[in-house]
Amino acid sequence: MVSTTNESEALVLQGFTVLQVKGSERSHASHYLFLRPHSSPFSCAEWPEGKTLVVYSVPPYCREENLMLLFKGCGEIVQVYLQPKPSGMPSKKSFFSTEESIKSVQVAYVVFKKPNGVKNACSMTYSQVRYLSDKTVPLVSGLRAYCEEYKQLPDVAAIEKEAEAYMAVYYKKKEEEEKKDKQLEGVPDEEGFIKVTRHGKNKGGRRTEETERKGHEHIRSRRKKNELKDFYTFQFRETKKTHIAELQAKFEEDKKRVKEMRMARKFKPF
Amino acid sequence: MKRKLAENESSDIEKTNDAAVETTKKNKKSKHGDFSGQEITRLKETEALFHSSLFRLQMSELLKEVSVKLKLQARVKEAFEALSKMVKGLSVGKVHKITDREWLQSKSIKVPLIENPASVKGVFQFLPPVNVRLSGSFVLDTAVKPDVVADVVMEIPKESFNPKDYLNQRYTRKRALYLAAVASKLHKKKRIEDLKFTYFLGNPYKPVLLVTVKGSDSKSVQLCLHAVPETDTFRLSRFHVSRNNVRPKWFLGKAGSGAEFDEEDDSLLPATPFYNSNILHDLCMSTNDSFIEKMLKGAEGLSQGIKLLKVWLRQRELSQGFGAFSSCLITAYVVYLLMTKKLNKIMNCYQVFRTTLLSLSKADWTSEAPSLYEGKQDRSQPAVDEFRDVGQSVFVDRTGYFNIAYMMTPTFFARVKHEAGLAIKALDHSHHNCFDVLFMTHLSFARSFDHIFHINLTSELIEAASKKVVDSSQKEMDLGGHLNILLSQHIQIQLSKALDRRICLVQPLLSVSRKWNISDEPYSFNEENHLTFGLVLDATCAFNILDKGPLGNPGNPEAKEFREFWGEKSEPRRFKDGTIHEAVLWTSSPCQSDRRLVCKKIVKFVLERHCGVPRRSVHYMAGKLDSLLHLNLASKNENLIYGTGEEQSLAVIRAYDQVNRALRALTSLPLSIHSIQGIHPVFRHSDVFPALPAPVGADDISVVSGHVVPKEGKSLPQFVPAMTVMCMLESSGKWPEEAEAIKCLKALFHVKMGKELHEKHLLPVSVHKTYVDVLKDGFVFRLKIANTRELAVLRTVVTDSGMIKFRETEESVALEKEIIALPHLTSLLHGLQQEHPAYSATVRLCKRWIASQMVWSLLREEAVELIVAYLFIFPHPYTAPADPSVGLMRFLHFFVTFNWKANPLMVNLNKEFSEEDLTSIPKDFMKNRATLPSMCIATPQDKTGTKWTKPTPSESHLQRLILLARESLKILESQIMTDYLSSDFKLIFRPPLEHYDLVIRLLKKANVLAHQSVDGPHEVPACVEEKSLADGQPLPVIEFNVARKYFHDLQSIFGDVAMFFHDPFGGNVIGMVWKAQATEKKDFKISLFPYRKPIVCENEVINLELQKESILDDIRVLGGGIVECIECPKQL
Repeated sequence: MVSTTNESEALVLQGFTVLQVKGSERSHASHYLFLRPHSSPFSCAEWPEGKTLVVYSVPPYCREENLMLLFKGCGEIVQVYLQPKPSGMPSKKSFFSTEESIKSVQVAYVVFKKPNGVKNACSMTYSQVRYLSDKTVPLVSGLRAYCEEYKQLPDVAAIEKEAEAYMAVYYKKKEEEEKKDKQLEGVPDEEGFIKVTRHGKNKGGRRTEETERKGHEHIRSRRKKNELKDFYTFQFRETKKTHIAELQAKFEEDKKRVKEMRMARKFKPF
Repeated sequence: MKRKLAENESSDIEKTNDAAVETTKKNKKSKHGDFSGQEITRLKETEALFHSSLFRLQMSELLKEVSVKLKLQARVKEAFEALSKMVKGLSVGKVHKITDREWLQSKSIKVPLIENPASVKGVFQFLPPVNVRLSGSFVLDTAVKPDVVADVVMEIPKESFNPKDYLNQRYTRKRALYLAAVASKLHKKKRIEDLKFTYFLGNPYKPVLLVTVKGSDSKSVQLCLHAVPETDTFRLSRFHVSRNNVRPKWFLGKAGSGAEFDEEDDSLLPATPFYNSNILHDLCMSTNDSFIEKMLKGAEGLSQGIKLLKVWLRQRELSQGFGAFSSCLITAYVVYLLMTKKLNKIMNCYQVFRTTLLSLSKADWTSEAPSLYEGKQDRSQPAVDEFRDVGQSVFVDRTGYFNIAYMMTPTFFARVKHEAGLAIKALDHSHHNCFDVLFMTHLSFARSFDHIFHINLTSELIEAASKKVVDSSQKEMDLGGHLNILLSQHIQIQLSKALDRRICLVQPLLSVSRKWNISDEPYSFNEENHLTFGLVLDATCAFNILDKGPLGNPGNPEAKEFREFWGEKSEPRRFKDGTIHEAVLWTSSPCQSDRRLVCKKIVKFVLERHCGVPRRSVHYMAGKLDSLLHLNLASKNENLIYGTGEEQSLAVIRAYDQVNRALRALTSLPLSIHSIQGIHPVFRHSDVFPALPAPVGADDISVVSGHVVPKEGKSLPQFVPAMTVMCMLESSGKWPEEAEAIKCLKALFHVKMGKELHEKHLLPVSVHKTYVDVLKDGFVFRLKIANTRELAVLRTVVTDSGMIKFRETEESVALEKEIIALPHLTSLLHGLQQEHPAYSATVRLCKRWIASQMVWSLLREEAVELIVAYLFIFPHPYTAPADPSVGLMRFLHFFVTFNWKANPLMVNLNKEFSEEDLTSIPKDFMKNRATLPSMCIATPQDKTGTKWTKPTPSESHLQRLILLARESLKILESQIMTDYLSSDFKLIFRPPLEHYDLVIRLLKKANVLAHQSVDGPHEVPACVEEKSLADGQPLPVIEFNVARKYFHDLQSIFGDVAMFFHDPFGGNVIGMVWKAQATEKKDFKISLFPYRKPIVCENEVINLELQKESILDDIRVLGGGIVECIECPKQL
């Protein structure tokens, strides 16, 4: 256990403030949270640097409101983001993210209204054990959580609307790309090369690994076809030789296998 | 050590090459580069004359392993010389009456023969043997290690016998006394370590003395001492099969029924063929021995071939016990083939092995019996049909009088023939390595037969039963009172008659010949308390519920016979074609589980009616494990018969077919549906518990927009699984090129589909983004739209140079499984089920076992399905299992013995492997072994064999599975074979809990599948009631199993630090084991923060330590309302 010199001081280890929390008053052992101010090479609007606090090792059953409760005393909170993994910006809510959420230990980004909220949070005392829930903000877990989860039935109209909206944007984007490609059709770039696109008159085939390999193979097979087999004596001798070499190789391989089996005592029948 | 290895490597074959290698070194640039002419001939020879070069090498390794080494040979020779000297030097004994026991009792030796009746005339005097010689496998160099015993034959001088000693067991008794006398004299000799008696080939007329002689190098050798009379002691024709040599008057006592026979004219007396053959066996021994020795001399291929055959027989438990296909028989048979020019002396061991098996597989030892006799048929010699009429298999010896196979019944020979046929079939599968199948796999009795039953014997039962046998008193006289043997033979005959086409084989378990100390009473067959029989079923007829007899008009004698045989069971029935036949109906239930046990009913009936064995004495083992697939339905609905669930699978598939039709008729989709295929295990008949119809119409349900939702505080709703069905759309070029957009389009498809199904077909639906749930006949089907384009998009990677590459990603692999691999697998396994009706129950039983051992998450279901499929597609060395319990045993045995490290398992589904695949797959496997998963199951669709075995099981998982399988198999086999009376067959389905670090017990009310649990007598909570399925019926709560959800959550949250184990079929515990490396101290890193606390070590370094208490706490929090208690058997 880490001992702090002063009872009312925060424990800071390698830049992380450590907090002891318990899920509820019934919990036996405390859980350790690691906090530090958010900093990232990419700035993003949602998580302003200086006003955002990162909390690591948040328990899986912890929800936004539970964290709000924990940091209530530090300052006004704008929003809490809970994610399964640390990242530079809020992970985009994909159209399909609501289905089958996988539970794990989370990382929380707590955005305060004022910078000193972060400061206050980082200087919270270590020795005081805090709780993630109280009477007004209970922990939702176990059977109750599963029942609640099931009750969130899909709204067919919303699905339709959302999907249609997405497709509209997608088609628009596609159209624009196509337009741009068409405009550039036949126009040489700085070095004088003309890009072959999939639109316009001279459609190029898709350049894939597969087609490239096939091309090589075609050439090889054509060469092979024109060859005469066992025509000259030396060729005949050659084939015979390779046949025996094959046998030999197989023999050697088998010998190796048998040796392995012998090592593994695979020949004791009873 | 190195030198030793090097020595080992220079095997026999290589020795021949050693010289060759030397010469090649000198003229390396000779004609063929690296190898010599000799080597090349060898290679070519292998190609032409052997199965394959690997097989050749393996055989020579095996021969090296089992052959008797020179050292041992010398030791045996030396021991024999010593023993021979001792025996020859024994002094002449005093004259005693045969019945006199005092002279033996004083030396505390018991005569090794059951004497029945006790009194007999005549006197016995010990005379030293005229000749002592080594005989049998040691002379022929065909002995097979381990436990080699060299046979030594002593010839009893002619003077010891009176001319009439062949009568009334006098010869047998004198022979036994002779051995006892030898034993009494050898007893004190210094070099003799141990003396024991046993029956030669388990024959109670033929005791032999086992002598353990200490060699000069203090290692001991075991010799088996036989006593035979001199060749010309008796006339051979005296022992013609149809003559009587045991007088009824003597055997049955003066007042017996034999009194009316004339003592002198034995042609009127009942024949004693078995007794006669016994004496002939001794009399002809030296003639046969010397003939066989002469024939086999100097042919290494032959003796090696015989060794291989012996190994093959021994692995099948065919060569030991009374009435077995002994090694003497196989040697004689090889000699016979040599005589008939089917074999010759220059053949190699493989050719000998194969040719012998081939002719065995075609042989008929009753009508076209082989014979070693070459001369003209003498009138005094019995003809083949005379032998046959006695009920023995026939193989005539060199003298023409003696039937070498006199102990073997025709039904037993049928087994040998069957096995030989299977072996040839296995050899013809040139690509499977059949070496293990033929020589290394031990076929225990329990695993070889589909059905096994025991008959508990009591002396009253034997007496009552033997009365049912025709001429029982004569046969008893012939067998010297060993009624067990008589009964067993009678049962075999009756059963093969009654079961007829339903079975391929019926075979008794041969009792092993035991050894006993010379001071103990001889072993009596009547001591055995049970007989065991095995049946191999013919799956095409075995499950017929009706036996159709001959035309039932009253005058038909065949019908009369049929009625007599079946008694009141037989009744005339009118068939579809208008004819009336006598017939027996065994069950009216259409259930597969009942039909599987039709044979049980027949066996019990026949044993009672024709063999005098009451039903309660018969213990039938088949069907004992069926209870594990059974559900206790609180059935108000008479139509719902669950049995072992096969019919329920069919009910689900019937409902699915209707949904299928509705889907085909959809008009609102812009693309048509190209194919529809269910991918849930139920569509492959391999769902352990096929879905039951969902409950309808409970009163206190809460409904939200057409869905029933679970309410907290109320009891949880019955679990309704959703069975996934893939709807593959026709291909189209208009799909977008972005994964997300494709998903959106699919969602729109789902919406349209749901709408039309609901509006036009009036089916209750629930539309989700990635699927549509449909309720039909109480079953919920989860429909998913699929298209191949999505797969291509997920795989596509565009490189910087603009080249498009295809790389698998996690998502694409998962999708490929769902839309391509699983539909294909499902249709193939569905086909397999049509071919083998036992597949479904077998695979489900195997899955159940895996689940009940709580290792379900270590091995994917599909892998289990494929392994079981393999047991049906390539069942060698057995035939395909016809009963689930034997299927489970073979599955366990396969798991234990298959060498996953060295071989891929090649499951030839639909026989789609090409010739090239069969060679290239193992080759590629060997090349890439290091990077492949611990198990590889190759199918024609997945040639690397990694699809279903990645990422689990890992090597350690596999070892755990193997360990569990080994223990379970051991228990199950002994339960079926020996402890059948008191066994609890659920034992192997109860997991051990003591090795878990944490045992989480679940609340009963949270366990919605409690009715499936192994020990659950619980009834299924609610079943479908016959209410009209009204329009607008709400969808039930689907896929809502909190125990399973909780288990998955634990796995995903704590998967890095611990492993969790659970039985998904109603298991009420979750076991947890810490991962060893997770509990170590870690560096202070963000990725390691979860559930660790910081600690400062001595040198101010901050480390992280796993905080087990807080994990325990959170397991409790996450399991609120689900967990009853958490136990830590060990310290945290």
